[in-house]
Amino acid sequence: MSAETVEIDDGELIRRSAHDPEQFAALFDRYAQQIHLYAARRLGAQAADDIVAETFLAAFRRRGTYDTSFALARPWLYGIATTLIARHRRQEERLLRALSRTGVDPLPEALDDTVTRRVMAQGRDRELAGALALLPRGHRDVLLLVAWEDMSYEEVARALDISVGTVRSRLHRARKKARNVLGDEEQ
Amino acid sequence: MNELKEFRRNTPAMTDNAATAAKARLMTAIHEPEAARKSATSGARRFGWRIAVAAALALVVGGTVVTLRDQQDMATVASVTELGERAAGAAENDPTPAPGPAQWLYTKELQLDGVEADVDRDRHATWERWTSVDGKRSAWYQGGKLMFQGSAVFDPAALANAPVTPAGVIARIKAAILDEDRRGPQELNGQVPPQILFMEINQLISEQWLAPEVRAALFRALPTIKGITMTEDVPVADGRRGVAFSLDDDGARQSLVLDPQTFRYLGTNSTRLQDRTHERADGSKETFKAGTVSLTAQLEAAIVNQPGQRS
Repeated sequence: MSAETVEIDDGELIRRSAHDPEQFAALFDRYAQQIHLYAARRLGAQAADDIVAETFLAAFRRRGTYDTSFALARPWLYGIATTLIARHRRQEERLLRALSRTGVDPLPEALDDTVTRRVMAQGRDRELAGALALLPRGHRDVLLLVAWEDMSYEEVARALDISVGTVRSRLHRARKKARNVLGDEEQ
Repeated sequence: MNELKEFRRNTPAMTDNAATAAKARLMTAIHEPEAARKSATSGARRFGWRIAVAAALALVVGGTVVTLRDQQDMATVASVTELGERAAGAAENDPTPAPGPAQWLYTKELQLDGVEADVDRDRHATWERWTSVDGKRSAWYQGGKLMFQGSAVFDPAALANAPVTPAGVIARIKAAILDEDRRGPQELNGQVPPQILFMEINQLISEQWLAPEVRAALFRALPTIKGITMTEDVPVADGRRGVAFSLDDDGARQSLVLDPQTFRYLGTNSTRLQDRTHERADGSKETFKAGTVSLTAQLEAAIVNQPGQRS
């Protein structure tokens, strides 16, 4: 990555990548780690490895449709990642239910990881997992992008290609449904 | 919301290997858009590889070659030297903590023999083995009992003595092979042929825990061994395909196959390049046809506390 690409914003990088595709690689360096963490929290590290790779492949292929007036590509990339995570919805829900039922994080480590790392979840985590498992997926997407990724309503709307009003109502309903475990405070 | 913010927050970060592999796929798409488009259809590859094992076996039962699986996307590796360098880099960046000296490496391997063109000769088996981290003992189940074998040829700790260099590691392995030959068959006359050296390195990489710097030095040394070349798109026993260090010897090609993205060890491939007829002691003959293969695939590799344990 050249010094120049560090300074220019995502939108400009994507615009330049139309005739200089190599520029697109800088986006990977900026966002791969955080998208991996998000996907791994939802599906486990192994699935996240694939999701990160496929997110950037899909983004690269679709870069022509990006509105380069948006300086930050983060919501767009999270939107692609969230769509890919949706393919594994059943896996995510199984995982959350198992965590809720047993208190043992069932995520396997990567194939060749030598230490089996199973975290005994706290009681509250078990309740949270149970609550998340029961949410409709669209509601869970909104809730986790706000809670984990600190995205604004506008960013979530861009990521998921829904209106800001829908973001608000989904978040409201997700919190209401899970109120007993997520706490009563509104923010 | 605060508790939700913390939920599963201690999830480990992406490994360097995963990041390298993911970025390599992006760079392939950037440099070869057509190849990347094709690969988009094989998305859930790693999720599905256990299923792929079953599929590969089903093909074998049907008497077909195992090479029918979709070709997966390959990170471009230009030369055997680059393959050595990238595999070494992956070994050096492996985040797996070092095991204790009393622990064991458990490996499970799928073995497949004589796949091409002869249904009756197709054989497959899984082979589980435990090798002590100190290299002194190995064990496997036989007739329901765990059997132990004594010391291996190599002392992994001695291989890891500083300085660890590619040439130095090769010199130590050659010395050990010659030492064993002197005490045993005495057929080498002080010279270790490339095929014996390659075979020993194969065994070390597939069955023995090695310090990351030793593993890296071995990968850097392989391209320096006379006759070793790179072969792409080489299948292993469970249908995965990879990029390989290969050595042609006596009408057959032996390959040590690595994952094309992560450069982790996948398995081995031995392919007969020319027909060969063996004459048995009783005068009968058996011909092994060109194309006959013998494949292995590493299905599991884990550090465990005792032989017999699998996780």
